Amino acid sequence: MKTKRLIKLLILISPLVAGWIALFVGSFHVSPVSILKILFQAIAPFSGLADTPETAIVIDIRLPRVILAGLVGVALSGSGVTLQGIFRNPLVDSFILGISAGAALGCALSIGFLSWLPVQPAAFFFGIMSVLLTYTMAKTQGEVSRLPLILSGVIISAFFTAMVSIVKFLVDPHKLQSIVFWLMGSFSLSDWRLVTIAGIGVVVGLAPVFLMRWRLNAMSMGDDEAKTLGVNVKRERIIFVASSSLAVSVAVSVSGIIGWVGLMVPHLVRMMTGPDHRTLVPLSMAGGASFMIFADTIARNLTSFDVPVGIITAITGAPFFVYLMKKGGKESWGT
Amino acid sequence: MKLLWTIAVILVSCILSYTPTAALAEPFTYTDDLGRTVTVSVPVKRAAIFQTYELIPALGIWDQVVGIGRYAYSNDLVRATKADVEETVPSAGSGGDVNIEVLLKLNPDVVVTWTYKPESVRFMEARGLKVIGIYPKSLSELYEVMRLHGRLFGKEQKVEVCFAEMKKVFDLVEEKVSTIPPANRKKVLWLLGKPTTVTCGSGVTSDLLKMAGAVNPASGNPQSSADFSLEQIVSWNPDLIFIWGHAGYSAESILESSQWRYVKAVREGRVYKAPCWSTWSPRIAPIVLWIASKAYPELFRDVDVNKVCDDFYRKLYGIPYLRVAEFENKAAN
Amino acid sequence: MMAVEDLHFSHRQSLTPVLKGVTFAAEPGKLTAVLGANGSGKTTLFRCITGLWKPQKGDIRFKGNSIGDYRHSDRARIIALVPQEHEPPFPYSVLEAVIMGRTAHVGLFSNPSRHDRRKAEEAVERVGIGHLRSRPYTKISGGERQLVLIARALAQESPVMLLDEPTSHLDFKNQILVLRKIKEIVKEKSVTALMTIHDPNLATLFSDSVVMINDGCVLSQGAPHEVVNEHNLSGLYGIDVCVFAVNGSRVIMPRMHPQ
Repeated sequence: MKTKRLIKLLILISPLVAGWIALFVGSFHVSPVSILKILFQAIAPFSGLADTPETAIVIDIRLPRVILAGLVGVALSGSGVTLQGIFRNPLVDSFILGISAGAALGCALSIGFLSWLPVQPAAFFFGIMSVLLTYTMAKTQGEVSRLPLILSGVIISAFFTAMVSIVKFLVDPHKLQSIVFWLMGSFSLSDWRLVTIAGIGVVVGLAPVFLMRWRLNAMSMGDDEAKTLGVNVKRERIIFVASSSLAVSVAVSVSGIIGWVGLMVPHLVRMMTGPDHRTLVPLSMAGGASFMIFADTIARNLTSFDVPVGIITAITGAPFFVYLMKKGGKESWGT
Repeated sequence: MKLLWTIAVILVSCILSYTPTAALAEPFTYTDDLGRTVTVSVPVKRAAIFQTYELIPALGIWDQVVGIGRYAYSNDLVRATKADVEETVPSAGSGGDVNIEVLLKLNPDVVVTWTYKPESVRFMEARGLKVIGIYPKSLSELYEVMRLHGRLFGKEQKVEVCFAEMKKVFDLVEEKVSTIPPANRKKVLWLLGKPTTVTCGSGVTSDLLKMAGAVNPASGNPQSSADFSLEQIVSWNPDLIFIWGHAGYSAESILESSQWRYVKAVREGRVYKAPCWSTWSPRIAPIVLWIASKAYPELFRDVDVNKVCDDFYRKLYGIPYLRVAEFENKAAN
Repeated sequence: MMAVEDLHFSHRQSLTPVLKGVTFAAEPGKLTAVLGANGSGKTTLFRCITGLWKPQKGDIRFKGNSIGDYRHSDRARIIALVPQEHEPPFPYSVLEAVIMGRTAHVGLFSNPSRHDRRKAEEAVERVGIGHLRSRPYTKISGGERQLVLIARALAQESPVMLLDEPTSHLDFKNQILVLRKIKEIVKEKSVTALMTIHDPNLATLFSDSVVMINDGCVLSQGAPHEVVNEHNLSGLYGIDVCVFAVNGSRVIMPRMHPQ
C-alpha cells in the first residue's frame, strides 16, 4: 500500500522533474547557472529580464516547447484514459473516433488547396467535425451505444484517410512534403501562442473529465449497469466524448498527429497504480505530460536533427509496452 | 540509266542528311538515374516530359513534346512561353501518378520522368514505353540532365547556348564573390517547407548557395535537407535567411516572431522569400545572382540585377522577364 | 411497497407483446421471488422496472408515487439492481466496486465523500467480505463476486432491491450462502426485494412471496405455501411436476415417469 502511494506521488511530480531536466538540455549551449538566473529573473517581479540570446533560447524557445509537449501529453493521455473508460476497452486510444484522420484532412486541405486557411484551425475544425460525424452516424433510434460508436469511428477514419490520400495525390510534391511533415507530429514550431492555445484547450476540454472522473468507474461497467447505478449515460457520455475530443483536436492542431501516447500511458499507469479512475485520470495526465516531455527531449537532442517526436514515442513506447505486457501477464490486460 | 538512278538517290539522300530538320535517326544509349540502360533513336519526335518541363521553352522543343506533367500547367515560365499549353499539350499525370492510358494513347517515343517514385518508372517500362529516369542532385548532374535533353531532341547547340548564358551570369557572380575573404563570407540558411526544415550539404540548392559565395552552416550534414531544432538555428545565427518559394509561410512571419529575434538575419531584416522557380532549370543562374546580390549588396551596387535577368530571359526564352514576373505575381496572390 | 401496475411491453417492430399487463406488488422487508420459464418475460419485466426499457403501458409505483418516468439518477435512489455475474473490464478492487453504488448520491462533479466511503465499508462488512476489500474484483470467486454486487446495491441505499438470478452461476453451497445473506439483509434493512430465480425449490425455501409469470402474464401470486403447488408449477413450466412435503417444507421434483 505504501509503495503504491509512493509510485502515485512520483508519477504526479514526474512532469515537473522531466520539464526541469528538459530545460537544461539543447543544442544551444546555455550554462546551468545562467539558466537558473534567467528563470529566476523571469519569475521574480522586479528584477526585469535581461534581453540576451540566452534568454530568448530559454524563455522563448525551450520553455514553450517543454510546456507545449507537456500539455499535449496531458490532452492525449487524459482523453485516452477517458475513452478507454467509456468504451470499456483498454485498447482504445485518443484517436478512436476519427479525430486524427479528420485533423489530417484539415491539414492536407489547408496546405494543398485552401491557402487562406491556416493549418491549425483547419485541423481543429476537421477533427471536431469527424467526431460529430462519427457520433451522428452511430446514433440509432436516439441512442448511441458503444459498438456502433467505435465502428463509426473506424469508418470515418477510413473515409477521411482516403480523402487525405486524394489530396496527397492531387497536390504537387512540394506541398506533399509539407503535409507529410505535418502529419508526423512534432513540437519544432512551439511558441507561446501555441502554448496558450493548447493550455486553453486542455483546461476547457479536460476540466469536465477531471471533475467527473470518478463516474468513469460506473460508466466502465457498461451502459445498463451504469444506468441502474444512477448515471445518465446518454448525457454524461456526450460530456466525456465532447470534452476529450476538444482536448485532442486542440492537441493535434498544435503538434500534428502523435500516436501511442493516448493508448500506452493510461495503460502503463493502470498497471502500476490500479484502475480506479479517481486516481487513474490525474495520474495518466501527469504520466502523459512527462512521457511526452521525455520523448521530445530525446527527439531534439538524440541527433543533430529534430526528429519527429511521433517516431520517438513509438520507438521508446512499443518495447516498454511489450515488456510490461509479458511481465504482467494476462491480468495486465484487465482480464 | 541504272547508274544515273543510283547517283540521283545518293545525291538526294546526301541533301536530305544535311538539312537539319530531317536529320537521320540514330540510336542513342543512356544510363539513367536508376542505373537502367535505355536506347532511343534520336532526335525524338514525340516525347512526354514529366518534371523537366522548364527545359522545354529553354530548348524550344514544344513541337517535339506530346505530353507533360500536370504541375507544368501552374508553372510561370511554361505559361509565359506557351499561353495555350493547357489546350494544346495534354498531361499524363505526374511523376508520382502516371495516367497510363492517356500516356499510351499519346504514344511517346520516350518518357522523361523523375525518379521520385521509381516503381512508376518500372510500371511504364513494363507497358512497353521507353523511360528515362532523372534526379539531378547537384549542379553537375543538372548540366548532365540538360545535355541529355539536348541529345534527345537534337538541340545540343541550344544547350550550349543555355550553358553560355548561365556561365555569363555565374561569371559575373564569381568575379564579385571570389574577392571576399573566407572570414567575411555570409552565413546563409535556406529554409524549406517549414521554418525548421533546412537545406543541408547536398542538392542543387546547396550548390547554388556555394556559388553565391555563401556559407551554409547546415552543410556539414550530407543530406539535401533535414529538420533542426529552433535552438540549433539560433545557435547557427545566420546572417541571411532565404525561404523556398513554395513554402507556406512568409518572410514577415519569421521577421515578426519573437523566437527568431536573436538571429542576426532577423535583427537586420535580411529574410527573403525566393521566387517559385524550379531548380532543375537554367533559371538557377538568375537565382544565384539574386542570392549573391542580397548577401553582398555592396559588391553588386553597380549591377542591375533586373537588367541581367531580363537579358537572360530574352536570350533563352525570347520573352522579357516581366512576362514571367506577371505569372509569378498571379500565383503568389 | 412497490407496485407494478398493468405493465405492457413489446419490442419495436414486433407484433407479439412480451408483457401483457403484469400486475403485482412487493412488500418491504420481504423477499419476493419471480418464477417463470425462459422467455416468459422475467428479464423484460426487470428491464422495465429498472427503466432500461420503456413499457408501452402501465406504471411502477413506489409508496404511491409513480416512478415510471424517473430519470436514471433519481430512479437509482429508489431501485438498486444486483446484476447477474458479469466480467468487469478493469480489475477494480472490491471496495472500489462497492463504492460505485454511491453514484446516485454523489454530485456530477464530485468524488465520493468520507460518508460515502463509510457506507461502502459498512456494506462490505455487512455481507461479510471485509477481508476481500482490496482484492481485485476480477480475482475472487463467483460467490464472492455476487456478494460484492449485493454490497454495492446495499451501499446504494435504495429501498427496492432487484436481484437478477443471483444464484445462476453459483455452486450449491454458494447458492445457499448467498440466498441466506440476501434474506438476512432484506429483513434487517427492511428492503423491498424482488428476485428472479430458476430453481423453484430455492424460491420456496427462501422467499416470502412468489410471483409466477407465464407468457407475459402473472399466473399467480402469494406466499410460497399458497401458490407453489403441482397445478401452478406444471402450468408455469409446462412439464409434469410433483410437490412433496418434507419436514414442513416443500420439495419440488419433476415427474420422471409420466402417469
